[in-house]
Amino acid sequence: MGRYLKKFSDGTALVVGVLIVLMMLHVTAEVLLRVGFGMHIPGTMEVVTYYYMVAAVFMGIFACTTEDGHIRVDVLAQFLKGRVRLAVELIGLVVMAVYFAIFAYGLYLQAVKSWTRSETVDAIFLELPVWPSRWIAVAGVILSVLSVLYLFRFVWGNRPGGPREAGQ
Amino acid sequence: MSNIQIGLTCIGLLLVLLSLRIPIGVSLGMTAFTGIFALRGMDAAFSLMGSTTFQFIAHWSLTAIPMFILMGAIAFHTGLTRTLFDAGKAWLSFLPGGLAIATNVSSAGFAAASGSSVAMAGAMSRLAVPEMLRAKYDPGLATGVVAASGTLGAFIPPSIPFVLYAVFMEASVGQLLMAGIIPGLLTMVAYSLLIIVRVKINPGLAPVSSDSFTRSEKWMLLLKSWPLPVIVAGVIGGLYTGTVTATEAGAFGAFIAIVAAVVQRSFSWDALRQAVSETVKSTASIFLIAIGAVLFSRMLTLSQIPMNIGLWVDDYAVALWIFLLIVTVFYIILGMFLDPIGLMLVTLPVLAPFVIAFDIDVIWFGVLVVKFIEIGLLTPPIGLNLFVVSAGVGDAVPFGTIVRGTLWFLAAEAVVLALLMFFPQISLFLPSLMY
Repeated sequence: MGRYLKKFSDGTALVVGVLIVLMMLHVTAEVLLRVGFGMHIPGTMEVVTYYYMVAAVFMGIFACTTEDGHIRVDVLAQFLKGRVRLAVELIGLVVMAVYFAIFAYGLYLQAVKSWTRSETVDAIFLELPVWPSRWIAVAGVILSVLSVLYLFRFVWGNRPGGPREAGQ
Repeated sequence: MSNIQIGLTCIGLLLVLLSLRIPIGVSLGMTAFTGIFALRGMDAAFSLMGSTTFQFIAHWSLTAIPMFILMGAIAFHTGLTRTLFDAGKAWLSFLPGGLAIATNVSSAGFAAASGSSVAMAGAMSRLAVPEMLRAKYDPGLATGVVAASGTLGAFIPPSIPFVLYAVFMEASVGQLLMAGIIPGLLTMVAYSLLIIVRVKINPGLAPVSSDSFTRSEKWMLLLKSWPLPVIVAGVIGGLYTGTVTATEAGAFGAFIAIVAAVVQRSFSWDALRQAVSETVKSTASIFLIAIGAVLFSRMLTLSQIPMNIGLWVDDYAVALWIFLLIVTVFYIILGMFLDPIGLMLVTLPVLAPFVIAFDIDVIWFGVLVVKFIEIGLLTPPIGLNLFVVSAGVGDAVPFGTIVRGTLWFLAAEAVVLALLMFFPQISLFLPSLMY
């Protein structure tokens, strides 16, 4: 299960990367058309903020969590050793899991609201539906909860006297 | 508990969670949820978690951040940074400590493509320090200049800290990006003067360069370094005239960086892949913190602490300079523990009400805050750039030497900070021309 999650997370990171490059190309095309020919690509601003950005951030948070890549304050914890360190790491993972679960539930409640009223934004020439982007956010944060569980297994496996400690 | 007591308890809880090595974004968000739950109940807390956060991310100004990161990462991974350093070396080696000055000036140029100080210090420590050591430069000077010049990245546009600050303080992104230019250049000049004076007094620090460049070689190198100056001019010009927004400037800059790399035959798919993967990770880690900070700021507002700060400032007629002095000390201490973006986002919710109560110019205060967080990167024992440079140079230079070398630049920073505080015009002149 852990292995599949890791693979899925790597795949997600790749997709997010492609989206960021597409976002760059989309915005560049808009700038060139506007400055050069006085033309617009309809809905650029809305698609960038509601789709590229939301996917990059929320799916990116999932990929970054799997890599254990979030920024922390290391100063005090670096002095901790052995069981105390393990305890601190486990508490940290529990808090992370709880936070992402709360966050996902909050986003879910809003996503349901947005879905039932088929939320759109006015993009001048068209009404862009934005309710699907709410679900992207929910998915990213739910996956982050799973990532924390994946990290949990890893930290537990590396505990002092644990199976990996002896082997490596 | 009264609302204010809940707010203060939450600030305490935040410090506990941070020290337990819980990611900064999670610490902020979890504390905020707990506080809002205690203040307004469960429904309000879940509702804010779902609506405020999403609206914050789906925000046009913030889309500039991934574009700025991408632009810097592409410029670095395709070697555009290197051409700038080579040109700086050829043109500035006649000065006392010429290589150190070339490092400093090319950092300022690279700053224009990279929004991140830490990335810049890492890049330059691999590029410039070995060259300076080969030229028998004092190791403290060689590493110090790299650690310090890294901080220019936050001032010269595009700058990630300014975009975040602008969104949080509801100020103009364009004006803040412009406001950073003169303070950034001022810092660069102060560093260069420091190097020249130190080398004049003690020529042993930096032996005169034996490399000599013919006139045509110099022009060749300068010509080869065109992409970064062109990108800078494009970004600054576009923002200044209002032709493009920050996001558009970043996206277009990243696009030009790719085109330039292809033209110079330094483009590779692998370099692009590395640049993009770095962008994905940096974007996610910055925004997890930013989301937490938004929630934390909402929680503080609900606890009525900001309102009471306003009353307190009025009641006791606290002088502005006392406030600035306290803020300086506060940042220097916290800067020893937190990374710069984290530091800024953790402190802004607390400081914002003071800025309103004192009626301080929000643009000027932004420049000061960014200066503070950048100084935090250099303060021993645990300024982040010191470690980044140390990791970049490996065993060649001991950590203590890096710290001693950087202290000189911190002294220069103190002078620059004083100038920025006493002469707000240094920061406000360019933005004032925009309208």
